[in-house]
Formats: sequence, C-alpha cells, structure tokens
Amino acid sequence: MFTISSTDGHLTAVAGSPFHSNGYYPVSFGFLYNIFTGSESWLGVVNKGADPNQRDTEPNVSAFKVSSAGIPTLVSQATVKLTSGTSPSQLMTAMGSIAKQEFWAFLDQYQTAGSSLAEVYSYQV
Amino acid sequence: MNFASDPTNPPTLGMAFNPVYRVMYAGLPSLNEVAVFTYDATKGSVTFNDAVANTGTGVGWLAVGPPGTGHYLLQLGARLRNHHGLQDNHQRHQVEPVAALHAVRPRLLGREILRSTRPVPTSTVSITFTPHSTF
Repeated sequence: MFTISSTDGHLTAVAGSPFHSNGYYPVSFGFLYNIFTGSESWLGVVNKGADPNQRDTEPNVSAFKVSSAGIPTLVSQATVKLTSGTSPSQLMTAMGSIAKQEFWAFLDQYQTAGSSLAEVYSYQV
Repeated sequence: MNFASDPTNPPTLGMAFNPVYRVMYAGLPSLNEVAVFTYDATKGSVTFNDAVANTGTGVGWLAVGPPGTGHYLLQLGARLRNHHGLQDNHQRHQVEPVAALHAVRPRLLGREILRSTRPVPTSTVSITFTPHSTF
C-alpha cells in the first residue's frame, strides 16, 4: 500500500506495508472510496490460490476496511471462500446510489476442467 | 453463459468497464470471443448480452481506452496451457484492438502482434493504455 504524492505522483509505502492479503497469490483488487462512515473505504482482494509451479490453495475474496491513512483492516466475517481450482482472476467495483448503499463487486472466475463454475459473479458490498 | 460449442460455462478471464455505458466486457479464452454484459447499478444484476468473435487466441485481460478516443477495447491474447493461468507457448502476445463505438456490439479493427527480442515472460497478465491512448 502506498500514498501518492499530489505534487509529483511518487509513491511512499504506508507504515506497515505490505499487508497480508488473507490468502495466497493475490491477483486483483477492487476499491470503493469512502463508502463507510468515518471516511473509510472498502478494499476487496482476490486471492487466486493458484500459480504456476506452486501448490494450489483455496481461493477467496477478502474484504478490508481502509482508513483515510491507507491502513487496511481485514473484515474476517466478510471473506468469501471460493472453490479450489476455480482460478478467480479479476475484481471490479461499481456503485449506484450511495444513499441507498448500492455497491457492487464483479468477479470473473476461470475454471477447473469439467466444472461449470466459470462465470462472471456479482456481489453486493 | 452456455454456448453450443461449450455447453458448460466457458472460462472468463479479465474484465473491463465501458467508460460511458453500464456495460462490461470479459474475455472468453476458450472461445476466442469477448463477452459483452450489461449491469444494473441499482440491483447489481449482470445480463449477458452478446459475444463477439475475433481472430485472437486465448482472449483475456482487457483494457478500454478513455472516453472520447473511440472507446478502444484491447485484449491480450495468449495460448492457455493449464488452469493455473496464462501460459504463452509461442512466446508472443497478440493485442487485438477492438472498436467499441457501439457499446454492445464491438467491431474488430485489427490485430497487432507484440514481439520481443527476448523470451516473453510466461505469466503476462495485464495491459493498459497510456494517457495518449497508445499501448
């Protein structure tokens, strides 16, 4: 996690960075800015759990609250466990009405041969 | 998504939003197509709209140009060797510029083959535009 300089764009690592992603082989993340009270943002991380020549593990999507200082805190009860071998690859976020708390995360998932789990999934944040 | 050529849900790899419309694209590497979805921002529902064929191989990892530039959709194609991710057996990547002037019916403009004088890493997984809409 880095802060971005507003003058020249250079990056400075946040104290404590890097942070554990709550899984193995994180490959993508989605961000929803300031959706929580207290100016906290939402960060969703895709832990793919698979990588060439590595041992496969169970993938998941892990959710964090991110403070205005850029410090992520895991929301452990919000972790979405995924089926082993399905190779999720990307997370994107969208929002409708902020007042109505219409926050969405879209996840695409590759497949294990013979499964029917490959698809684009939609989650409400 | 079910297709006659792939009765199970085909693999999806890489997504991108249209910068103007509530439309998103996903690579279908096993079919060499780009899937086009609409989504409802009030419900979060996603609706498959169309799949656009092209000459790419292992279509995945998409990037869309900024508004006002023709909404170019780029896809990074590579051969797939196993379920772990992208593996490029030919040590080259194909970049397919696709026009998305019509949000739900992109049209193939052409293809550029990215070459390198050195072996290309086998796990290239992302592509993006520069601010000048080149790549």
